Amino acid sequence: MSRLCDLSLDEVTDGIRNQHFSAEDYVSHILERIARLDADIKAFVSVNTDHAVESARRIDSKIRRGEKVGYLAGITVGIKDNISTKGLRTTCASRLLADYVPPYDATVIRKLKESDAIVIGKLNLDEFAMGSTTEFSNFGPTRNPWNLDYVAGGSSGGSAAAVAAAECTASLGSDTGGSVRCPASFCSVVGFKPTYGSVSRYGLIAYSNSLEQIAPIARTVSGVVRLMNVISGVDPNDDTTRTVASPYSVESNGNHLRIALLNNLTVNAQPEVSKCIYSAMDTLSSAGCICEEITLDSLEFALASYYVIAMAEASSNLARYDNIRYGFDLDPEGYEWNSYFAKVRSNFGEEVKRRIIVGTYVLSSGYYGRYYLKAQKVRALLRREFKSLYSKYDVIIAPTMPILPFKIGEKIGDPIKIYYMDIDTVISNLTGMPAISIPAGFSNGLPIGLQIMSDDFQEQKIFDVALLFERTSKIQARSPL
Amino acid sequence: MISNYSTKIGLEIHCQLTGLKSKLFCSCHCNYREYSPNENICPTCTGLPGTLPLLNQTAIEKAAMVCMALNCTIPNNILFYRKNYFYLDLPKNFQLTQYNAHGITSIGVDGLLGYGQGEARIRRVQLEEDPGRLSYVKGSSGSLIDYNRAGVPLVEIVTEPDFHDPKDVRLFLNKLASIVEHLGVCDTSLEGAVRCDANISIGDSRRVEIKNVSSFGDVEKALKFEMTRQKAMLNYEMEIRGETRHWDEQRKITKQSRTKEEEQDYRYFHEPDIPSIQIDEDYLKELHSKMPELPDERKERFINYYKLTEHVSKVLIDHKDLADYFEESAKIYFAPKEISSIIVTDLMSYADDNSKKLGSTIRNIKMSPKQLAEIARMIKEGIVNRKTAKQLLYEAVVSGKLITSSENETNFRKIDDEGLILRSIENVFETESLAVLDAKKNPNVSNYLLGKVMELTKGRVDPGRALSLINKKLLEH
Amino acid sequence: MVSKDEIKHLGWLARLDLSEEELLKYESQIDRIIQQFDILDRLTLDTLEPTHQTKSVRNLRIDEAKNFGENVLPKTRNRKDGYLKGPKSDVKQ
Repeated sequence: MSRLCDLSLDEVTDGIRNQHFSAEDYVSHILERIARLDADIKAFVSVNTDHAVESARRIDSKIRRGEKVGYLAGITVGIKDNISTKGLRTTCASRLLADYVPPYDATVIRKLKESDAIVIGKLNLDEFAMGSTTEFSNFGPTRNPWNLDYVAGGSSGGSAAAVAAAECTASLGSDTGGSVRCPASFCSVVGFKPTYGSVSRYGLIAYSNSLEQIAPIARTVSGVVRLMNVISGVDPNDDTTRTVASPYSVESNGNHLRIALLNNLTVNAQPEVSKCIYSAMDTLSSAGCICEEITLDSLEFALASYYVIAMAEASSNLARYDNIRYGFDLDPEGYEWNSYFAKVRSNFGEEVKRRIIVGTYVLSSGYYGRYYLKAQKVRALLRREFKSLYSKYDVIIAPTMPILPFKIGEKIGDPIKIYYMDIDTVISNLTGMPAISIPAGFSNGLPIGLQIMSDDFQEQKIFDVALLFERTSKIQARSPL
Repeated sequence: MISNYSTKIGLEIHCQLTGLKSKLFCSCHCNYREYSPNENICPTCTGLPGTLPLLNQTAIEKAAMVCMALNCTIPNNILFYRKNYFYLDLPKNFQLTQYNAHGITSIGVDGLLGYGQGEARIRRVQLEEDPGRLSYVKGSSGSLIDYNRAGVPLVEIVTEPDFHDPKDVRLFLNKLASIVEHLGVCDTSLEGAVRCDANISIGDSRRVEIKNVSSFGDVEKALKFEMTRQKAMLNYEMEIRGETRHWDEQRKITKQSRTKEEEQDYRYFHEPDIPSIQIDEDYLKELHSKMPELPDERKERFINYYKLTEHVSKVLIDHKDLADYFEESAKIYFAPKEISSIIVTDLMSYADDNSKKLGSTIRNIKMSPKQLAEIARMIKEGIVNRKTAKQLLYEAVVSGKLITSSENETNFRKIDDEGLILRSIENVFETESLAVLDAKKNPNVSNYLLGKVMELTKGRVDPGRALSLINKKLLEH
Repeated sequence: MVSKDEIKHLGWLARLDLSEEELLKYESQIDRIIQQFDILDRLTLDTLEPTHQTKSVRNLRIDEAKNFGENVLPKTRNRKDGYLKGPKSDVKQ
């Protein structure tokens, strides 16, 4: 069979619980693999070696003593470096947080630890989660394990690449406009953006609060489902969380569900991508689903609305980075405060600065009604239209990305080209509704992802269809490295 | 000639909700004053990355009560906004507030408060958070930042420019202070608990804002100064600039603001981490029924139940502390006229000349309401006369001790026994034989003899009675 | 058209020190980005209100005080006598 590192989340927890192998062996294997591969992939920003080995040993002792262990016992989870981990440096791939060590754990981290998952390390991202290729990271880009000259996607590039390269069992990223689904699609893994409010954002370093969610990534749909069962739920530390329909099941059947394909998005996709998605629809039809094509005109306003809101909120969320409480070494004595702030903040990367400037612009007096308020109304419009669609259909499918992965450096000179990568994914962030990306095929060795979306809190339907597709599709399960 | 009526004054008042236990958006202590720098903080109020605001339920309750007392309309949904600007005391470099440049979403609007001489319309009441505190080390070229106060809840009350006279402003602020004290919302005597900005325009001249007045008492002074300054300028036909001026507490003047108050663009938008808060009708009804007694209601009760005069009642309720002290005392021994009279007359004279409010006098007084009740009883039952009572009062106020044990009571009790009085007089006559001789010729000297008798009896005899007995004895001699 | 001066002013509002080089680069890029937003002008949406999540006042955090319990900010970073050190501010107390 495959190597220890290739095991799915379910296989790892089963194996450790049933003592087929020890957690310590598993963790050592993973750490060794990271040491060997990550110089090329650059998925990790930091590796939590000592703590991981210690946690593994503790789990093994519990099992040997016959004690109960948690739901995710022994699995290694990589954490995007914009999620707060107590005692572990958290940088958001930015100079402005170079020396920041959080004094608290994000709620999702606490929940992972409570279920005996092991936090194996922090993963690379576009600075402050702003980007779609991880090329805007202060540490340099993460490379796609399927072809190291190509981008891994972003902003959670490290999270997807690490899982694809089997450098960890699963990972957590954040998805604001597609930041987990995009790299999941580019790296041929499963990435899921939950309904807004299903997973606590306490500890997620904010980029755009009304759009983002912490989002799990794994090699199988079942892995993502298990993670959701642990991390989702109301949190008293986050007043935007809502009751969820967990625990989610990996058993239920999706074969009578009604599916609609959003053809605005296939029409604007590269032909190879479009072909793959239509083929996926055929697979689902053959499996028993009722499939249809639909068009939704209001989608043309989605990208602009997304960027207006995201950049506006970002410009405010990033105001706090003034180097007084966290940052890097620069003694404030002697400076006048405005100059100090401006000098410190000139250390943001190019893309972050661009978004802060544009965000400041759209919120300024005179423009608020024309841009920000209008964009918020577009959200209401889209929600209304999707709610209406979901009275007729169970799920809606589309490509995750309009394009295939491309070479590192190819699009970095043109920010607008990079923004257009998000055209298929921003919709779910605007409506707040859930969406998954699952591997749908390859074109010349480059991965293509299928996106499945549903109404608020109807993630079980997404999981059902995704599991069905996973079971019935002809995609070869293989590892890039 | 500029008549007073063309003067328009509006107020913007900030009260800390000192009655809360925790801050507005986190569980740090609301009363930050006892802590060393940066010891009353948490990730949320220091704006650490990844933290989220958690709105305090009781803050809504207290703010809603203030709105009700000010006769405001309370909407069914309220929102919070970000006011985006940079400053060293602002951990997130935005302030969470309810002010919204685009509409009204604060907790109270369109209120009205009568203050005796008139009434003022309340434009809005809203919740917002206090920033941290900056200080400086002499000689250093930097600043020092303390976040202990960051996130403390404030209620902001904005009036329409309905005042025409600084005196009215003072009456209004006194009324407001009494209301927030009675509601248990704000202890106005705590340092920094209240701040007031005022804006004033005379006739057609531009509006001037006065900032940085940190006590209600100074507001009247600041406005008087500013009016004088503006009128003088107008008399010389100089134009009044629309500007912001700062109140200099030490020199008691307003001066030009040194920082360029740039056209600030605060880029307000709704705080995404705080949902729209639903305030249902039942909640408001429940709140209304459990609201503490307001000053006006209490005043009526003092007049009707305790039969106090309008004047005395008003003095008492103007400061909740005094009213509480009075009622506690009256509960122990029901002598409302006596007790209130002592408070209003005697205790007021013990007030420190520098103390700005009578309320704080009570804080420095060591005498307990029980002791006051005891003194009132002794007076009413004729056990002591007024002079002794005053001594006992003074002693109790200053030391907190009231000598009321029965054995010592005998040292203070009024001496009624005529035999005892006569014996005291005889004593004095023996020792003051020269004076007695004088007294036969000069009637005024009997006062001297009276003085000696009072001394001997430690003031426990009734002077009138003693004097008549002395004169009688002189006639007998 | 978003001019270089406007970008400078926006930089000031956001406390970002922008070099001449950056100002030139951003001038064209940002103008193009904002042009993409003009598509929103095609919608009127007067009858639509932005949707907000809602929460009842009764479900908000209970007013209780507690200490965070550990160091919130590292004791040795940028401190003087417990205060955090900052650059010079405008107003002298």
